Amino acid sequence: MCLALPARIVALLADDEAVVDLGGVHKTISLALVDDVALGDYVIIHTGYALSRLDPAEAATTLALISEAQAPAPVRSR
Amino acid sequence: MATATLEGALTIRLRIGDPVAVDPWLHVDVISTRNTRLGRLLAGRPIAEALALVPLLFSLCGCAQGVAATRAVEQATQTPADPAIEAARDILVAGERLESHIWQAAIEWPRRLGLKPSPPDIVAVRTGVAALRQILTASMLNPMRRDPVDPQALQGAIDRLEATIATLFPGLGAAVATPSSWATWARSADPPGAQLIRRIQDRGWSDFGRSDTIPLPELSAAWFGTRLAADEGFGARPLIGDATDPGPRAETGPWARQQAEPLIAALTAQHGNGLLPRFAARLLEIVTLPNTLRGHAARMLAKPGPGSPAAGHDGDTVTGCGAGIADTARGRLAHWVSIADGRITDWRTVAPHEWNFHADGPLVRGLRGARAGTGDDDDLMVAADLLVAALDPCVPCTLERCDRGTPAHPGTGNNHA
Repeated sequence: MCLALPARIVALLADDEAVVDLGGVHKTISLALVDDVALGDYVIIHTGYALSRLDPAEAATTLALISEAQAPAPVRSR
Repeated sequence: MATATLEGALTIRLRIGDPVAVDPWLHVDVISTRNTRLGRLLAGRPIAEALALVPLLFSLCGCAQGVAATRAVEQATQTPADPAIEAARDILVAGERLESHIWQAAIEWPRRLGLKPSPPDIVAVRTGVAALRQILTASMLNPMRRDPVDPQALQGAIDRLEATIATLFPGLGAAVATPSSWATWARSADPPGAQLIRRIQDRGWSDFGRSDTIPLPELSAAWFGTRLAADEGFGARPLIGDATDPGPRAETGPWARQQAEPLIAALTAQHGNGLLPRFAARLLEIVTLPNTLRGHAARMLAKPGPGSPAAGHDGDTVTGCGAGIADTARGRLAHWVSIADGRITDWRTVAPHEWNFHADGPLVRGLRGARAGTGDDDDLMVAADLLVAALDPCVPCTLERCDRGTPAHPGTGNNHA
């Protein structure tokens, strides 16, 4: 369902890369698809790329909504 | 729970049987932690608030999610949209489909071919789709105005998008016309799509992943509404039939949608739903989506449009149930909503991922048919990874190989699945 999780930029790196904080987990991502991203901005990421930048209000709304979700139980199948 | 884990993930474990002893076939365990009940986050909210939140929740298919949700609410509230507005929504959803397909071609396919991904290709297509979106949201889809669309501006934006696709995939437009032109293109062209097809053909993987699953039929919003309303678990394990008679397993997405296209029909006759027909269908959609957009635009422009803001419903008192669908790059998406006194009481969805990565669906059945022990195990993993890419999961997916002789995953039995 390609959930849009806001990730906060915590470090800008060389070669159009950055480190993001996603709920306490740090990941290195590419900024090749977005322009003018600054430290502290929120972005939506997908398979290692920042897809888009979110304004702080949108990010806060989404994070509040996501925080309401409960942990899904793993579904095991054959 | 940690935000990073909320999205969930898919782990596919392959156990390869002993090549000379009892069981040379491939065993498959699918472990999914994907959250299929995000709709409950919307329960208790007023209609307008819930509709505003839906597109924020989804990264790649936010537009389709928003459209399916809106259609479900419109059916529940008995406030159907004007046909011109419906056509404008179809343009947006088709544009999003194109963006998603280009992601596969520019990022995922090169990764699997050992080539460098090409983000500029995505930027070029996103720019073109954004132009379409800007035209529509400033006019027909502006809920406060519902202004007519400027036909020339819209046609110009579609033409530019088509030119971008032609630049990124030279020769593909003519290639999808016939099986022979397709074969010529695949042998000689340079884009990652052609290189991928050549790899599949050269390795003898055209049939890999072939199974008895059928293309998901053109099921209506009403069909999805009935099933989602009756079974809270339908969104996690959808079936065409029911528990007593599950019916054939079904696949949704480009291959299922393009069955009527002569190229896909010819490739399917030869290779079933193996890797070659599946990737060919996605390439066909890439190059034909500009024409699809033209069709939606013609429908929209043929109608005068509402010309005034939507009348809407009485938000505080409305009660009812409804369903809506939209076709994403990965396949058919459906939402079902229940409303009482203007507030959401239940919201259920079924995403394409759940058909294609069903515990007994196209991926598992396709892998189950793969003979292990007759070839190189590394090759088998590469082919399996291509099958995952062909079905395009919407959460991160990991393929794991278990050593020969490893017992089945606890609780998974000893089946060839």
